Amino acid sequence: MLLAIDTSGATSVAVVRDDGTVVTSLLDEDVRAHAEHIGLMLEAVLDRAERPAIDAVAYGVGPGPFTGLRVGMAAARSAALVLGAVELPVLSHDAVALAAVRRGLEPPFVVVADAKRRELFATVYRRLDAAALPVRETEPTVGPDDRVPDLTRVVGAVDAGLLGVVAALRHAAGIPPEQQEARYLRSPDVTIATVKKSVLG
Amino acid sequence: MTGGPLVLGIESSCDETGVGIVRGREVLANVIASSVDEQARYGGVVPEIAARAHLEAIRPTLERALAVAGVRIADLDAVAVTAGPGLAGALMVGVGAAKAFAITARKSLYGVNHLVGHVTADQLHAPGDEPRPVELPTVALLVSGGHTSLLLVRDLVDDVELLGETLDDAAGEAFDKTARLLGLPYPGGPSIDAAAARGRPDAIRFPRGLTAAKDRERHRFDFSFSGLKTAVARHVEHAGADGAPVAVDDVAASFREAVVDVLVAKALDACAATGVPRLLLGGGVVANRRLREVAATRANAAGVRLRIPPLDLCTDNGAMIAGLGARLVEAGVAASGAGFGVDSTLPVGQVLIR
Ligand SMILES: [Zn+2]
Repeated sequence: MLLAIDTSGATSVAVVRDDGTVVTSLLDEDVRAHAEHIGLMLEAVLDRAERPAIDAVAYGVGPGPFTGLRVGMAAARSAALVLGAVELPVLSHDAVALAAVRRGLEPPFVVVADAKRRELFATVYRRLDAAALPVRETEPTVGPDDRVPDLTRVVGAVDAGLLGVVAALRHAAGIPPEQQEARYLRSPDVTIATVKKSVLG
Repeated sequence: MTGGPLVLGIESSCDETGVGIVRGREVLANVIASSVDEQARYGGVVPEIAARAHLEAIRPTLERALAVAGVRIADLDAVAVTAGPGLAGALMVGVGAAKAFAITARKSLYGVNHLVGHVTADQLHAPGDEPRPVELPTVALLVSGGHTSLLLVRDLVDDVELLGETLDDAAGEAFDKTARLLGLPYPGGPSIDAAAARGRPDAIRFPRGLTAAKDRERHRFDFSFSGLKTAVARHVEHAGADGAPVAVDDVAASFREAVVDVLVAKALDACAATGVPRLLLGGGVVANRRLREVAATRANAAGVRLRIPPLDLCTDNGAMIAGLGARLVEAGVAASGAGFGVDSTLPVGQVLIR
């Protein structure tokens, strides 16, 4: 059984069977309160699934707004440690692509998401693999709208249920998981922390 | 002496990822991963770099702490995590990890105040050592790169009062900025200390912020270091304009003396004003030898008992957070639940977040 977590945009937590069927999945579209939501949703999902034995934790590695993205990644890694489960990182856009395919869209298409500063995160999908999962043509990129390839655009929140499905089916097919690093795609902004009214650190 | 709740604590409010494990007041593990080397080229803490480093460090640090302590996750009584104050993005990594840890391990979770954690450090002891007697009430002076706060602590769990704090830079930040002005490496504390050891502390009379009679009414226990920083900048500029080399050692020694003088004077004034003859130092700036010396001498002269925890418990660390969690468990305080968020400006009077 897999636990799946994604906070690359919204917050979503799910429990998925090894065969790729979703036991339960929750999604909260609030893009500001990942740290608050992650605990309550994790608790709710695990309880709803009646506290199953988890042997893998799938998590979205982005791309997405960094601050929120890290909450889910930190939670997933810590959950994997406690549960003695393997970590299965997944590119968050892969779950959005799978959702599109399940709605009947056929590749090629491009998954896009707001990257702020008038730029978009974009990942191109050209075909399906043997497990009927969409396959990326390129690694995700960040850039202005006019640099996004001229393909059908797919947008949408990342559902941890589908993220877990991607992880489960790839795992079952013996496909190695993604690199576990967050897909920031941008260098950190260098602003030195200044303490305006006392209090940090 | 080996009793008490077994608590794991997670700290990620600034640039150290800390995980500590305590049993009551005994520190079983205190593991710290720091991103200070990555920050060095910028001369200060870059929040995004700190947050990225926390994410990479959190799981390995948890694993090391559990291995060092030699305890099983199942045996823990509770998990505690810093909920604030601190850098929001950094705090969120620790809170995300702590929530998932507590929920999957089915442990109660305490979101606690970082500053009160610093105060708790004083009560912790190494395995096999004699427990340190609890001495409350106490005045506490917490000085680091992130904070400069003066507290009156009557009870850790429910009676911590803010007497004063910095209105601008934290003391450690003033060290960092001054080091940069003088061409000394980051972090500024140790590099200024090294230069100051060769200089004369009375070479230049730098200003002591908020110590004038007019300031004492409203800001008797508050601090301000921006005027001092400006004075150093002006001094360096003038020396450069005259063509004479800047006497870096003398400037460093005189700057350090001004900071230490204000910190100790205000802390002892707080002891006098509150009638509490005990002073506790905490925070990374306690590593500064001159601060410890001046505090010891003047506290002694004022009849104030000075307490300084070991340095690895003074800098930001997970053991102090675990220690505070253990105190809350002992006091029977209800846990935070799973729905709390981080609060980058959490007031010191709020020991536990809900
Ligand atoms: Zn601190």
